[in-house]
Amino acid sequence: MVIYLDNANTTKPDPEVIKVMLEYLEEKYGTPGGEFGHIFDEEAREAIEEAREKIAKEINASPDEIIFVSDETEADNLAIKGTAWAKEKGKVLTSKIERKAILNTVKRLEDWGFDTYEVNVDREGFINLEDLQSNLKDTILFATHLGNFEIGTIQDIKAISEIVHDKGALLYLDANHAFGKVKIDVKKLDVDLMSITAHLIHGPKGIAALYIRDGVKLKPLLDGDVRERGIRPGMINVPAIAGFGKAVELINYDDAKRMAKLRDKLIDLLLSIPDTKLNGPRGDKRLPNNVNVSFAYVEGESILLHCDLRGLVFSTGSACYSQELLPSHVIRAIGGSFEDAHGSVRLSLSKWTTEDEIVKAYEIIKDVVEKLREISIYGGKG
Amino acid sequence: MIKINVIGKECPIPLNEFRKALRKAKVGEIIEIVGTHELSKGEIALAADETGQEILEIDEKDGVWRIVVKKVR
Repeated sequence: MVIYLDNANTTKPDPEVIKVMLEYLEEKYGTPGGEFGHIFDEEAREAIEEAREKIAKEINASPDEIIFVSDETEADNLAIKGTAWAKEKGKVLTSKIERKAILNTVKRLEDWGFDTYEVNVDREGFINLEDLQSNLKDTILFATHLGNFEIGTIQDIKAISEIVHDKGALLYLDANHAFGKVKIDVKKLDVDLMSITAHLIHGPKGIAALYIRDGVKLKPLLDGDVRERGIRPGMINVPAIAGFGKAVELINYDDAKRMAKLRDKLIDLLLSIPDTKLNGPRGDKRLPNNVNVSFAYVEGESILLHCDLRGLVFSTGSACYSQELLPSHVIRAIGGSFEDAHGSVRLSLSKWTTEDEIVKAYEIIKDVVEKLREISIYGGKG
Repeated sequence: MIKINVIGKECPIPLNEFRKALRKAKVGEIIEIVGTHELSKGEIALAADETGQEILEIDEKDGVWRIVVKKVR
């Protein structure tokens, strides 16, 4: 039996989600039509609006403020490019530790003449508010995250939104990794745009939602029909949306509390391995399902491959592009060395992770790290 | 027999290629991997051992190593 600790990459769909989706694949296979749609159109429309209401209620938004998109990358692109295009000129800020979809989307805006800047973070991954404040002149948008995808840092969004709004800029929040684990109220956080995805809360892949606060203007990425208010035209993925709605209905914050306890246990166990350091903060300022540690003298990719062969799966911070290993930009941005970045691994829990799995995962990792250090060329202590 | 050539490739590519071959191989099938990255030689032997496979040969000539593994489980 494989121990799956890669839930920040994607989660296993809940059986209840699959059951709902099957209904919209096998029986109710319509797509929402106009005012005079037939029964299949109506069933599809009802499913979509029901899911939209559930999602809106969960984040204290109005259903009219929710747009369905294909995934978090599309949400990032729509929020960032759409806002910038609507504003026509100005500066767009992000932070150095965002997902590549945000970093690259912001960078792309330079092609249209926008200025961009990546705000610094501290050693635990918290956004440097002074750096943010001092770069807000002419800024139209700050794109950042609630919970960091790699090291789990939970940002002080209330403080960030006050600073950003004080200068008249908009705030886009990538809440994908926090949603379902951290209670979100868009009004209390005072965000203008926010993305959440289904596949990180035991929902299906290929569906996400973008919250657009009433009154915020943005231009669509695609031109087409009037579906999703014309902001995201095109065919609607009804089964996925129905599944997303079900996944939201199944959110239980007691799961997050239980995950946080297991997270802390796993962190303590892993830190008992010599020359191991934690990346990101501890306690309530860390996503309840995130563990990220760096092991000295060994590469994260090697640990991952050996653990995979032994039935334990997780991720590393490095990204393998064209057979070249790039060190994690997040670990580098918080001041980690190249070795820290290459030796980092991310283990992410789900509501189904058990204590036995946590202990077993630690035992496998400890054994793999010790054996790799014995043959390490980086001065392992063997 | 599955033959893999990772000459000139560095860590973790050789181990990753071995892992893929091990997944693809049927029980009883032989995997031969040749490469030059010294650390990977140790890592592949370790991975074969960890997963309970039978290492038939490990040799090295002119900086090129060769590992032959029989998948037994």
